[in-house]
Amino acid sequence: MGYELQWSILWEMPYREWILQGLYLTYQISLTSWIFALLIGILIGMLAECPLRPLQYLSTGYVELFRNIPLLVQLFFAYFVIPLLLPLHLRRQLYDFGWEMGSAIFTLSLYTSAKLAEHVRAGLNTVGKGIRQGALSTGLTWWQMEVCVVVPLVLRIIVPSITSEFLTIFKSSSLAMAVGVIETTYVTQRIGFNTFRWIEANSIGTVVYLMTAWAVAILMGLIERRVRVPGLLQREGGR
Amino acid sequence: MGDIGQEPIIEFKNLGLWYGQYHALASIDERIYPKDCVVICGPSGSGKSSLLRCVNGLERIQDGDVIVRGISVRNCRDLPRLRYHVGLVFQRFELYPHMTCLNNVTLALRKVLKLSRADAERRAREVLGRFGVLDQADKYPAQLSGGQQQRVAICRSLVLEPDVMMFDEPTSALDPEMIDDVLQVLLQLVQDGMTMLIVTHEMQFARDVATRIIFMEKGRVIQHGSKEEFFSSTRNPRTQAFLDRVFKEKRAEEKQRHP
Amino acid sequence: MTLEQFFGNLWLLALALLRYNVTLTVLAVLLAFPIASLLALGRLSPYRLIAYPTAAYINVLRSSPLLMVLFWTYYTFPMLIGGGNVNVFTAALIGLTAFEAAYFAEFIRAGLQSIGKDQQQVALATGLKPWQVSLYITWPQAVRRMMPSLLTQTIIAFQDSTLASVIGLREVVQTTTIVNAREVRPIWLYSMLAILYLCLCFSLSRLVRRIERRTADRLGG
Repeated sequence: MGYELQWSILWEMPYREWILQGLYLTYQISLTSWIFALLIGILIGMLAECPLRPLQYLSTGYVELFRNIPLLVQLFFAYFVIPLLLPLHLRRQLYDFGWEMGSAIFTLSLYTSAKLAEHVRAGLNTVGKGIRQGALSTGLTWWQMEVCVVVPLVLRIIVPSITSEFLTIFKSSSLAMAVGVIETTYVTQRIGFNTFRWIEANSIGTVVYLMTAWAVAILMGLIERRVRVPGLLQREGGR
Repeated sequence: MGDIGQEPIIEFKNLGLWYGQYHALASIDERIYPKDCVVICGPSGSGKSSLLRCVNGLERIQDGDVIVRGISVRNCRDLPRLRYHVGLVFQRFELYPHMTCLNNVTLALRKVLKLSRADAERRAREVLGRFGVLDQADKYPAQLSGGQQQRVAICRSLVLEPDVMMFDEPTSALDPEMIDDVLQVLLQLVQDGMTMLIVTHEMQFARDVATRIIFMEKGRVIQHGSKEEFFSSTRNPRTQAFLDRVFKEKRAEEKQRHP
Repeated sequence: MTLEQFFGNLWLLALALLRYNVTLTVLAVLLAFPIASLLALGRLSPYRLIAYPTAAYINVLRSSPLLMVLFWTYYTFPMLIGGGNVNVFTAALIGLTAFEAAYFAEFIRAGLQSIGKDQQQVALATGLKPWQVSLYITWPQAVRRMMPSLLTQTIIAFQDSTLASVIGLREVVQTTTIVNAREVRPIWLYSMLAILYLCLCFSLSRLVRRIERRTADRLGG
């Protein structure tokens, strides 16, 4: 085989610099998108349980749209098409701003928000009619009931299921390289091309993602333990 | 005996309710007066729970109307305002599992009556204390027994000082040992002069505490009248059949517990 | 875009889709299932020497982006094995198979574990040998239970196959980019691509849901 592993090359400049930059961008894309996705996703998820029919359809349509189109296609659509739909001065601003990153965050936010909306909807279903009627009977308006009782409860219930979405967002951020963002995956390939040390380069990339996955799992596990609702689900009354 | 001289607190006027094709309630015409303690009984599926839910607008009325404190529920534009004057206690308590008992009780005080947190907690603790669950105030519902949970649920509605309290089979989800606890609470409320509308199978309790009894079957009122009339020897054969069955079940239950 | 061009491009896209994406997905799934079954069994094995490595494989593959896996199979491994050029399709196939096998393995494991021990013990008590219990009792039921998850994952794999465009496979996304370079109609072309996938995946997921409902009815919910 004649291939000697030379791990030290990863530590040399400029490769060390590249890896850190790639890491930074991966995290920037993932975390920014995650926050947007949470806000939008919760909203869309709540719309699905709204008493107004058209809003329900909107919610379902939104989710189906982003679920059925591959992420890469969505990314290309955002990167190539959206600027063309804007007037010229806005388009220029978009490119100046850095639409590579922008489109990546935009796409990933919307895509993940659709997945999260599904989890929120499932969570709302779990809460069920009983508690809502109990809250309404004390004179709370629909909005007060949703915000003060239902949403806090639902958020606690869905922590385990949205953990996987959080993990996925880091992996999906790798697609940003297809539109030119120099994140971790792209960096590992650049290093590989430059040094021909493919195993080392790819390994460091894999290690980054593994460590991230591990950290996310631990973090979400801690959160879940903190916000766990005592005795929820399948509790017999009076026992 | 209810104050028949005064205006009725709740008036059912030819009330009708459908669930799709299923006719859940038909031609209900009743009046509930202040200080009345009305027990509604009947076989499963007779529409008793639906009746209560029509009063506070949780069910949409299709026929007739329910007038609560002079306000038509069917045409009511501000149901939340109506609802806190009418307390409803559920079979499965429906406490908010992610909040402490104290917060369960204070939530409506703060959001609906706009009390400050300090005022709300003071009132809540007072009511919880009255029904013996004050030391559970900082616990979560899942940490309480069924009887305690139901008492907290009663406090949650009671603390809003409603004009009438409705109970939808308050003891059906409880272990036998705890049923008495909750019935004691109901008794205390009656003695304090609260107008009560209770759906229950506890006929012994009805005999002790009720002023009037309404018997329903298949969505209609079969017999209504004072307690004395109800338990006297002359009555509707369907009522008779129901009472026979209930007392037979009760005797079997007693035999199981004390052989 | 004239009608002729529209249908011409649509034809190109559909052709690329069928030739590469669909083939890739189908082959990957067919290969992944037996591999995943072995992985699942390995994961459940009481022998640490088998259980730990399989668990490691599953975890690593599930934590890694598919893009990285494709880079491993296209650029890295060929370098080790003689340093020749690997066929893009083969690399994509191996990468996708390895990737999906890890996900399938988890679904299969969940399916197998959902068959209660009681069932298996009853079968053993009637004299069946362990391998017979597996074949006639455990696996048929487990497969029916895991079918919806596996089918859904297949649809996801179909969407994931588009990533092969990044390593240069002339599948549907790459074809769109190539046509766009020639005709410069990104709005039309990328919309066609998006709608194509939207219709296909939506119909497929509806189909899966109907299958799910039918098996649920038969199994009693």
